[in-house]
Amino acid sequence: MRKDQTGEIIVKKYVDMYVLQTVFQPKEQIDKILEIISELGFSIICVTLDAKKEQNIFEEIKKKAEDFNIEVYRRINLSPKNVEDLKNKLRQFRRKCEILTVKCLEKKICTWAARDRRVDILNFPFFECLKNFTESTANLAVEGDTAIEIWFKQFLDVRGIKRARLIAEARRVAKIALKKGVKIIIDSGAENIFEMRSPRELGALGYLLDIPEKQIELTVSENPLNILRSNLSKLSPNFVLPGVEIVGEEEENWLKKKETDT
Amino acid sequence: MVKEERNRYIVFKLYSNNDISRENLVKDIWRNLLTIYGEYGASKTNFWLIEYDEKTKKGIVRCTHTTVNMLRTVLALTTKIAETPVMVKILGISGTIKTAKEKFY
Repeated sequence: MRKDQTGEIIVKKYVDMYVLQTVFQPKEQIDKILEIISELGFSIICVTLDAKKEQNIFEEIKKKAEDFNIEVYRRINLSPKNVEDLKNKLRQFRRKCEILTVKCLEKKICTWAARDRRVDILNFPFFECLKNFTESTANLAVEGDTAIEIWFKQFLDVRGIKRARLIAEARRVAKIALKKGVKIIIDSGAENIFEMRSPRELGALGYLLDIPEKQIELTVSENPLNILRSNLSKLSPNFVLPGVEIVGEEEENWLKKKETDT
Repeated sequence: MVKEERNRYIVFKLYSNNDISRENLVKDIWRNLLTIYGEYGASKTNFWLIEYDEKTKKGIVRCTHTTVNMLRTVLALTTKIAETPVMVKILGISGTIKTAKEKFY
């Protein structure tokens, strides 16, 4: 049990950054599913919305999640065809969601997304896509403050040789990321509730990828939490620049001072 | 003298829509253990299903203290037992069966 300087107990918040909207279907089971997510130990989840479809059950999930002390945020996965398409999509969707992810289907897209500060996470949807992440991409990701994502479902869907090759490639990616200081996030990518795992079990994937124990803990808590915090502050109407915010009370004092001066 | 190999008892809970029998559970955990870590790796774990309650879907498995993370990974990667989709959640890990039962079961 960790305590802060004042002696108060610090409750660790665990985040699942990648939960598909289909987990909450049928609609009647939202409460039951949220209860299981709460039992698993998550206090924050990011629900993936379909960028093309406006109609979704996000608001309903968010409202019901309050009863279970779970915070729910929007996440959009972009699958750009080329760099130009990526730029357009970033402009279109950046302010519509808390988390923006780019699927790195091509090397060029991966490089562009890595250095763009508007992109939060690089996602590698297929085994072949992991090859797009190299040391040079990692350097750009550090500059652009972009994290990489390793999602659990990818490892559940394959068996045998395919899984062995996937583990080997993911291990290479994790090694580069750790060497260069790129943040790693491990999440579920679940399509149904049985594909979700508790934070500790998600972290267990890190053992297969030779990620040090200290880093494993960060992949499911601190790393995703920091991205969310910074994005929430950026999305707030008071945000001006990183580190600069409009503070209402100071403005009031300034107005009062101006009145007394006159 | 400190024992070289100490046992650990992992208490877990299954989430599934159907009932899961003890036989199927053991069979599928072994299968996953062999698939992921091979026969050599599996031999080091000293794996054994100590207890399993089909009603509450809670159980206890034994492994050595050096292979706890291996077992954790195996349980996390278990997706189906007898073709039924399942999710395994580890409730806690203990050094004795008594404490495991008192604290987590």
